[in-house]
Amino acid sequence: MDERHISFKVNGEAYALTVATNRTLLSLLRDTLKLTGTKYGCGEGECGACTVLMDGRPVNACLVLAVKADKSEILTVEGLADGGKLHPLQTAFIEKGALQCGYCTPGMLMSAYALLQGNHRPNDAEIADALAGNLCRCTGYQKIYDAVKEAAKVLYTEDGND
Amino acid sequence: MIEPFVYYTPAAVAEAVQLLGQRSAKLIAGGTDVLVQMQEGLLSPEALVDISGIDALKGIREETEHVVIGAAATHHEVMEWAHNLPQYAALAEASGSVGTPQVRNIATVAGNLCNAVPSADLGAPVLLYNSSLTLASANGSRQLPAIEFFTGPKKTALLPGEMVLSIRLTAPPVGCASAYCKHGPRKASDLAMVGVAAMVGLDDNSAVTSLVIGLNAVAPTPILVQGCEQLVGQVMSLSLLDRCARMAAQQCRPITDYRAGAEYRRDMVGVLTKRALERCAAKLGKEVREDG
Repeated sequence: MDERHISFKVNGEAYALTVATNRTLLSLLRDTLKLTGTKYGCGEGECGACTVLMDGRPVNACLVLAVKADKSEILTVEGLADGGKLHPLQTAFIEKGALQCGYCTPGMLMSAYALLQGNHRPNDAEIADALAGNLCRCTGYQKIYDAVKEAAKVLYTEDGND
Repeated sequence: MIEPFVYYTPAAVAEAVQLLGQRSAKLIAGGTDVLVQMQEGLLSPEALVDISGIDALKGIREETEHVVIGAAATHHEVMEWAHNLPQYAALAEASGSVGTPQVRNIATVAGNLCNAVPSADLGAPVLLYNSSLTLASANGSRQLPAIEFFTGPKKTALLPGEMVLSIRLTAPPVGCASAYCKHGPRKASDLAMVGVAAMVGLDDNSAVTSLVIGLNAVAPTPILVQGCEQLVGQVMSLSLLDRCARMAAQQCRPITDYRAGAEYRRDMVGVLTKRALERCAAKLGKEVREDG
């Protein structure tokens, strides 16, 4: 069994560990680090339930070898809240009813988070493009778009940033 | 579950080609296609050679007469680079239509070409630029015209132990714009039933100064529509669009499969050819003229 030593950060915390080369980042996050917020959906990069940010960009953790995370910074859904305080995206998802079964929600949140980093006032079309790799079989998406716009408002207008 | 393999991360091309030559090794860059096949048990190489860390293969380089897209350049990088370059818009639009944002952040243009599935989106756009591929093996390197790279469905001219280093595009003449139109079951994360790439140059009087059309998913390989150069000098008009659409539809060789019928694909080649040419004209600030 081929193994590699890797060091990387997850949600700001530094890790140094040895992983088998045939493991995925998703398996490392869920099974070793017990960060089970990131979900296994299709396992082939179609559904987006396993979306995490790698150096600021959304990727499918099921399609990234764990060894590829070496020297990278990973952000998972567990890293969004500030202590006990939910991130405005999370609050908006709850308030707008943007989830039903909730399985896609962590991935949706991560893709939406990446979008809002670069676009403080996304319209529906831009949100749809950014979330095109995240499938939801419950909501019909409109409430998710509403939540993302609401979060953008909270994040970037109320304090006069934008 | 992925079968165990030995994982190599060469720092230089010389090391990579040695590894590819010596073992039953599979090359990955983004790995988005290879890993899916490995998870499904369709592929179980003894070794993976990950070239994504080789500096010489990263990024996109603009030279005087050429653009060089490194084998490790992702779709996202191509989209960012070509964002405001109408002459390379076909590449940006094709890369932007591959998979999902998550996939485009790690999957590469070179990987899309090497898979060589007929529906691969980057095939036809790359052909627009009279491109060549720089290939290397332990025995040395060679240049191959992109049109000769594709030899059949999932088949390329790559020899055992050989890899793509870069894609070299010839810069189009000033005043050209390009576009990629794709038709699939849904907008995101789907394979093309038909893909049409076009590049058009127009002079001040809307006369064609250059015209190239490439087709995806309607032949065993991506193809260029033959005879477009004979249309140089003609005015960009509705009848010219019709003529191009007929030429494209006549020259394509689509098959019927579970995604679409051959006749439907052929019809859509005509529709998308017109659409791609119209979009090129619009990007150049020109309208397609009514005839007569």
